Amino acid sequence: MRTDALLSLQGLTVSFRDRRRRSIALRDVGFDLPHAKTVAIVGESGCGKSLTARSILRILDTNATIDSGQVLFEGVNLAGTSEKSPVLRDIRGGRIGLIYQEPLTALSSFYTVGNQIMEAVRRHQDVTRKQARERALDLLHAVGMPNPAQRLDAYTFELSGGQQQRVMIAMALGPHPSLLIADEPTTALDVTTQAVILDLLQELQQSQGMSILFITHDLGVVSRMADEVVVMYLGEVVEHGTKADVLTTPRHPYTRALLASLPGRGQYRQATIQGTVPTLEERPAGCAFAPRCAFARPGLCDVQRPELVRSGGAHVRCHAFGDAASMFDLSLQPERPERTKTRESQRFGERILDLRSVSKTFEKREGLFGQRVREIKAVQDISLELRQGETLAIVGESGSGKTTLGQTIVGLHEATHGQVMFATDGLDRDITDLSAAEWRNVRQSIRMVFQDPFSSLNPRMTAFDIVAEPLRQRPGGPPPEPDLVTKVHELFRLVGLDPEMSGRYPHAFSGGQRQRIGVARALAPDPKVIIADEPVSALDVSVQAQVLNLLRDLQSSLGLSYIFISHDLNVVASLAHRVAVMYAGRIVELADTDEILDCPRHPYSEALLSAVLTPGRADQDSHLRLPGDPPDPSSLPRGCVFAERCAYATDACTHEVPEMRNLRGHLVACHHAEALVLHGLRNENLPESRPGPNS
Amino acid sequence: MARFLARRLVLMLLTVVAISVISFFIIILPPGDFVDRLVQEANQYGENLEPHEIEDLRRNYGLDRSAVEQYFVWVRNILLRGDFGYSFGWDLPVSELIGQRLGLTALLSVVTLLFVWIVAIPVGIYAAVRKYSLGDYVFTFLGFIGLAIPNFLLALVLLYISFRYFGQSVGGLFSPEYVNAPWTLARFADLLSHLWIPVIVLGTAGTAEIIRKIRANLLDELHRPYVLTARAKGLGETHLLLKYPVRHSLNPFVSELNDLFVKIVSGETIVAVVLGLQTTGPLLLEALKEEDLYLASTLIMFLSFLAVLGTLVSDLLLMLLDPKIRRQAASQEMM
Amino acid sequence: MTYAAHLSHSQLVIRRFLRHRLGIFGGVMTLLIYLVAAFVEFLAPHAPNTYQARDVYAPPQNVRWILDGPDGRRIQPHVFGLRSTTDYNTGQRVFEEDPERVIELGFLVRGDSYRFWGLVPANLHFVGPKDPGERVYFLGADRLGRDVLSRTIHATRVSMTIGLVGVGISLVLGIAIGGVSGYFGGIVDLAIQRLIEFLQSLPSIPLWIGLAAAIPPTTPPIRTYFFITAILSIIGWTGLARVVRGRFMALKDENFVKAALLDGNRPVRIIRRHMVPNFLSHIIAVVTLAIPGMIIAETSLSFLGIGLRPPVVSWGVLLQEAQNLRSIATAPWLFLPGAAVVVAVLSLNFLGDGLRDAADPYAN
Repeated sequence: MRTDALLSLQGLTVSFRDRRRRSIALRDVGFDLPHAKTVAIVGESGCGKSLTARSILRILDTNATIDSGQVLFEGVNLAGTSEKSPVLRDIRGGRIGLIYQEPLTALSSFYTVGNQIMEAVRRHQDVTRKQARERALDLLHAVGMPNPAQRLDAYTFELSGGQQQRVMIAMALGPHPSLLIADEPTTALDVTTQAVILDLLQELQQSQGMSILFITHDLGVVSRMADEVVVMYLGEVVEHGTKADVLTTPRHPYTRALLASLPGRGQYRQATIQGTVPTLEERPAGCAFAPRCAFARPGLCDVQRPELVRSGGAHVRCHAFGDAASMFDLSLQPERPERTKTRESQRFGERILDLRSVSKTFEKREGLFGQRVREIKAVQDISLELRQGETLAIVGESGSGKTTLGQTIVGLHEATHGQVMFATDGLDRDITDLSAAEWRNVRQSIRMVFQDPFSSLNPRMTAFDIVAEPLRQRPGGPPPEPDLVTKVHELFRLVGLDPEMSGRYPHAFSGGQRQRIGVARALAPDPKVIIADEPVSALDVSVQAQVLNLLRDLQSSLGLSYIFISHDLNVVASLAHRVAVMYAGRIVELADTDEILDCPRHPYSEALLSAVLTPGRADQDSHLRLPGDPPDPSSLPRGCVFAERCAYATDACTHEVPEMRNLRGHLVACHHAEALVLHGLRNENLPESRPGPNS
Repeated sequence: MARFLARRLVLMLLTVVAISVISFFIIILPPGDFVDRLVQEANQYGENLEPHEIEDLRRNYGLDRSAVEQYFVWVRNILLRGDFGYSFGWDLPVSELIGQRLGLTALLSVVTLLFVWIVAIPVGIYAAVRKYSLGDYVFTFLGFIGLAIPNFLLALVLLYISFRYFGQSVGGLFSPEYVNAPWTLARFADLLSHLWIPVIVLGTAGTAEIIRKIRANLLDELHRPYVLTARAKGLGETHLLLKYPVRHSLNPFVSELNDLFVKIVSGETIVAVVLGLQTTGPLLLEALKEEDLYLASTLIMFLSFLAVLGTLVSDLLLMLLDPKIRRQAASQEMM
Repeated sequence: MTYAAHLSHSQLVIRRFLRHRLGIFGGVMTLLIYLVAAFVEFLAPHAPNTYQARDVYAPPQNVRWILDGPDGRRIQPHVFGLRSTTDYNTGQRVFEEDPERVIELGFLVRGDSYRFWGLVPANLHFVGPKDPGERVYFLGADRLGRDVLSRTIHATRVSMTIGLVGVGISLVLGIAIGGVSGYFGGIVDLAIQRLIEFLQSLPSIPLWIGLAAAIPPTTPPIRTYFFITAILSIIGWTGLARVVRGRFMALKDENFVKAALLDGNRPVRIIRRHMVPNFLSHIIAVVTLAIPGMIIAETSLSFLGIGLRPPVVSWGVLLQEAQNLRSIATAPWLFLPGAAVVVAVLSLNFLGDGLRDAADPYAN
């Protein structure tokens, strides 16, 4: 244990048990958290990150028990106290604060925000109600809550996601803890909100001299926040060192692979990690990562569990750094695939889709007999083109209308205004007013891949039937059975699945495999256009890379056109040829990917880009933070939808809706587009080859 | 808030109108009326009524007019004179017959409701918190039994047991000497001493159901993130339990309070018959068998009205207790 | 998850159900009860309406196994005949066994003749006195000297099917109306929702008895049976309609249903192939849990004398015999049909609970 450690975990082992068996969830976890520093725990889902946090506070579910190990905090071994001991209860909340994902569910909706903050304060400090209320008000001020005095009496459902997380932070900080555990605190938030919250946490840490244990799956966030990094895999610490050590010169093959599988800029095939994280019941003998490791030595790695050994300034649990180091040659990088094509030289085919002023307004009936109708303008006046072989990304934060737009194109919603021209077989026709029979034809050509690979597959059908469904429902009637089988098996192979598995039901596949099934289903009728709605956002980084590679390969081999809907600019940067930025139902800017990334023309694009985090780009421009929240789509402002939050807004912006104009290759809807000099991602800051970016 | 209330009241008024229609036409539309019944009786005594005599009888009772006409006359008299009609069978104005009985039905229903809540909430919480304990199993078992026994059967069994082992009849709401006595403190005390049997009979099924539901709801809530938050704040388990998950798990029951109340009012009819209570149940049954038009209609209307009143109360309670609904009500005000 | 890789959804549901012990127990019991309902004439020792005036309120007879006959001891189930005297102090009749009168019992004996399922004439009974002229009261006799056990067994058919038929009608109404509500949405949906709320806010029993009292006593039994189920369904459909609509609405927004539309499915096929299989198990569970309510309702109405009427035998009709304190004090065995009700309702509840828990095999 280091002398400056505020918290020290030593040999912590936690297991789950049910009636049938016991499975080890945390194995021998140990690291120190120094005073006033931030340690980030990083890993994919199911690696035991949150469980570590809960074990420290001893708020585990009843089926989890601490088998051995110590959690030393300010001289007390928390692992050795009774769960009900008063000492532990005083430390919970008093000395260690906790914030986590999904602030809406983490707060009670039955009590006001003030009540819940005051409760935390009064639990640990001997103050009167009045004093506690004042303290709660100060706290809301401190976390940057707008109108704190009013918000004190608000309920959680009246606050935006960012505001709810501010409340969580205020509550955790109330009793002046010396340690804050932040468990994926920004994962559920939009990027621009994430940026603001991360700023806030850093500010508070500096002003209060707190330590932070920051748990995240996002390596960009790690590089923004951490002093030291703990990499976990299947409940074990596999690497531990300073940020520079771990992110710049990663040692463990898992850390390397994780960094390498991040989406890079510009049409690369990404490196991937084969397979997925096994379940706890299937923990491999020997090194937990061995089955997925490119360097694993049979006879050693799959038999003997490596010890955590020192290597330079870091600790790493890998045989390649232990006594058997001579058997390994880690200098062999997983081969970096060629840049498939450069964007400049890319020639796209004919225009295939042309959206002309498409709008979608939902009507919501309210009142006892539905007498009141509220209009929700989800998508307004969208015009864009898609060419054959091209990927057009639509980016925007939640509620920006990007999903509605995608679903309107495929006909899941009927457009309220505008036309969607679809060019096929020499015909160019509006598909918004087709008959049901005609739609069935068009649907063969324009297909969709859904976000959630769990809910988009019918649990009652086998993978085979799911992929065969569009063929069986073909307007011309189903193909003969042998042809069908051949075709479906071909599709399985095309998306990298074993046709042997086609008889299984969706529940037997992993998330990435399900998404492959979803892609195979989309490809079945030989489509021309695929609308992919956040196809990788529910997947872990390593699996995400696999699916992105698949999409790239399919595009180049089949000449598909994609409309790729995403909130993740890193993914977009790696896949898209052109990008449309949406805000509050409108496209505010549309241009080539490099153009938008490097020199955005719209203030919102600029703000969005400034919030992007990658391990190579941790220095965000903090002056570009967006205040407030996006407008309510049922009462949009009269002028520019972005004016309220725009740093450059003038009077004209609040009165007039800006026209979409062409400005040196950018389509941009801003009154001041010509006059503004905006910042984008500077090219040199983007890692061209990874690992080993310089920050 | 006032507007919210006003809307609820308007809705209730509409409901009452619909109820009056249903109550009346359920009785009048099926073939056969009170006069037919009289003719039948007369036949049994060997008397034969002449057709014109039957006509006269019909006219006297007002049964010669069309159903719709009779309905409007009935409603007009209620609205203008508070006159609910005349009971053919009892030869008395309906309002005189039902006044006290209706009050007793309401009292019995409300007391039963309270009984259900007072028993079910703590037991439900206990069963959830001590999941799979002996107590949990016992309550679960009793709960199943409670759900499976029809009210009237439970009443019969209790009657039998008290007769067999205590040698007394426990029927009725009053001891014989108080049945027709004016209201005094002693009569009230006598009422209370009789009330518990019907309360238990009426409340058992509801109690069993609510225990099961509270247990299931609370088990869901116990693992919600906000509970973790509260625990991470360092709150004590009991305090935490009552303030957060229990509060969350009970909220849905405020709206179910109404369903429960409807069931109690509904079940009261049968239990009252078995236990010989001086409430609306036996009167209604009698009236229905005798085709006593106005008495039956008025009773059904009032029982339904009682249930609708329960809806109103539970709506208001929900508004008081659920911040989301409270805020919705407040925002309707603004619009 | 991979452990069940090759299992289908239905197999998972069944697997999960098989782990629910109470559910299995309920299922087996329910099955047995319906088997009894199917073979009442054969299982009951006597016909429901045959009587013996001398055996009014006769108590249950003890079954004895060893018979000391003239030709020595042998295993022969039998009961002793009953002899009654009147106690002149209390005025009550007292029964006592008469060891002289041995009534031998046997399996598969000839007894009261009946038409099996109303078609095949037969007189075989599963158990009963060997001598067709004798009577046996395993669980006592009633006010007219009819065998309570036989009547209870016979009543199973009516009581158990009335629940089934009632729920069947409710389900048809519920699916039709709930489906319309969910499919059309908008104003239609709102109107139907308000109607359901209204019907559910009314106390059902007064309405039921209001309607049931209108059935003339002279109505033939079959028609009364139909009327009663119809009356019970008038309110019963509302709950099922809500469930159907709720499921329908929830599934409509599922991505896999959207995907089915994009795959080129026509609406009818989307509903049949993609939606119905996904809520069928929930509906089955809800339906199972609705049957007990119907059984209790029928029993209650018949008990009040405004539901089914003699000569129809249902558990409610039989319990009318137990309506006054005097008769149950003399003959507590008249509660037997009540016990049958409780067992049936419990079994269906257990089964329904198990089905409901199994309906979603992916939940924890």
